[in-house]
Amino acid sequence: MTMAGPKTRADIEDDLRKIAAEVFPRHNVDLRSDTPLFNGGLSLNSTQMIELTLAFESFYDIELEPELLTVENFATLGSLAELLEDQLNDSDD
Amino acid sequence: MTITENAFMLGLDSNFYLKDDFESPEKRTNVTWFYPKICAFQDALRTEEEKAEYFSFLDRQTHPQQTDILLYFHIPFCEAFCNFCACFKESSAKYQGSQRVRFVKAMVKEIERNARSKYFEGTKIKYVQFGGGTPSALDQDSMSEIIEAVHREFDLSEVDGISLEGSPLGLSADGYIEMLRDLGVTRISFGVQTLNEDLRRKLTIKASVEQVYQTAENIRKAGIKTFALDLMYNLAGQTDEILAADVHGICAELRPSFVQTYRFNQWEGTRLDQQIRAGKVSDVLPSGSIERAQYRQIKESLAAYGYDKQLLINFFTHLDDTGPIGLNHACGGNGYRASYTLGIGPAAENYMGERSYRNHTNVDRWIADVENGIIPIEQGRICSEDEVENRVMVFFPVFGTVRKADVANLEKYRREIDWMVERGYAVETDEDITLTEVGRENAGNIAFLFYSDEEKARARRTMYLSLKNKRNPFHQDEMNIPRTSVFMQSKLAVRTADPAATPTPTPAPTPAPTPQGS
Repeated sequence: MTMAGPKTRADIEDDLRKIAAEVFPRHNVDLRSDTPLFNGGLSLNSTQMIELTLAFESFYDIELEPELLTVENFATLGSLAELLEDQLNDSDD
Repeated sequence: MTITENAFMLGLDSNFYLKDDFESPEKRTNVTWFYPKICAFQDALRTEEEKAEYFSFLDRQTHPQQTDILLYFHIPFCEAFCNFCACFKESSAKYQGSQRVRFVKAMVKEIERNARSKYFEGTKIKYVQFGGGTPSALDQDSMSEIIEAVHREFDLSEVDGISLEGSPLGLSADGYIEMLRDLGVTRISFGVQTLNEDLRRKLTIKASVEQVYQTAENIRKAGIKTFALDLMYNLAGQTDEILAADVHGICAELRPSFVQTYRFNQWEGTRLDQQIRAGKVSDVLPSGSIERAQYRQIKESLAAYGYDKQLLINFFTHLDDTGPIGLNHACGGNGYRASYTLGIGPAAENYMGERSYRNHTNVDRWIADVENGIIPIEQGRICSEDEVENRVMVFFPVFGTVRKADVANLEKYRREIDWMVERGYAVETDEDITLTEVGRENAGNIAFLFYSDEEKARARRTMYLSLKNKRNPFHQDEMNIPRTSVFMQSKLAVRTADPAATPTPTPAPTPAPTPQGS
């Protein structure tokens, strides 16, 4: 990934939309900030949750602490973007 | 297509019980057979010192007299591999000659190490079970050497029974069943799955239908007290008519004491899963809705043939008096009635009070460790009080009912119990809580209501660490690793795990009931 500058949350949400579309091409869902990732919304199961995690880890070249795999962090596209914003900012420090 | 659901999936959502899709056919999950679960990465015993401390209880205390203990022996070999099976197994052909001798010697050494510990002084064993793999894939001399060691080393004076899973391939060998009987085996079970020749061929089940009938006859003739057969449903191509014929053949012709039913799970990475995904299986595909309809069909038709007593969620009999058959110790031997399980052999899981641990699945490593005097176990954890307490409710859906007197802290589960009753999944009386028919159909999901949030979080971490380290996320062995998206494969391939943070995991399946050797 080429970093032109700090990513905004909106940038990260856009990245996640692209990643989700590539990893789950059959999940034809319009992903907004408040779209749930599990029941309803993207309707991921737990294997898919991990697949998504590995995908954005690869995209951003980061590794998530397993403790961050919480229901709260993965509740919606927005909450996941918020988590990643923190992670990316931390890794920039 | 059915996407395999499993006990971990619902753990994504700690408020799952509030959702409307609880009964969604594609969201139903298997019941829990082993709990609390163990993780190769989070529960690693990294050093010999850690291991020594963890297992010091064996020489420090004796078994609490008020709890039953079951011995479980895991024989990880199969004569042939069925393409739907996700269990860890090794080819028995690979372990012949000197390798076979080493394995048997290691089993006997492990039996001696445990039996001669202080913990087992004066301890009377309640039940003995041989599972796998396919225990009958061991030749007669090897099997008798192991069973004789069990009799010699443990106190079986009050044992309820000795049970062995087998396959018609091994059990049909001359004298095999008689040998088992003479060594005290009281119950034999094996997998039929289906009697349809075409389906058996597609599932790469090697034993012939003729061998199935012959083995059932031989078990009866030998005077083995009880025998059980496995029947699968929701198989690709298994129409309702084929299923009806399977039930008829099993109940009216083979006439076992017990029928164990297993829904088909399309475990990711199995050969059959790959074929289905590649579009090579063109018949009726397994699906959640067919599975639910066929479960109902099975229950009704089993009852019509007299198998109307449902002892466990998947376990039916026509007998009025079943005798001691080990059901009190169901759930891989650690049922809610607080049985302990000592597991011996590669991949065996153990529950010894608050200690839950798992043996190496890697057979060569397991043998080498035993030969070198190393405890052949790499993962173990001390469960929290909360988890120990939850076991009663997590396992209750397997049994279909729970006595309130057996639940240590009933009001802790009041919200879930009220919800089950309101939704028609369970009935509560002064004495017990019992699942309704629709509750039984959703038993796996109901079990998951009683996992703590921490347990669900652990499950997520287990899956994450397993996939990251290219392990099966459920058993953490090296079989059936889910596919990785193509664009991530090169990235993941160059990423090496930090050995300090992620020790070489012990691949380890659970001894949870699965369709047996066919």
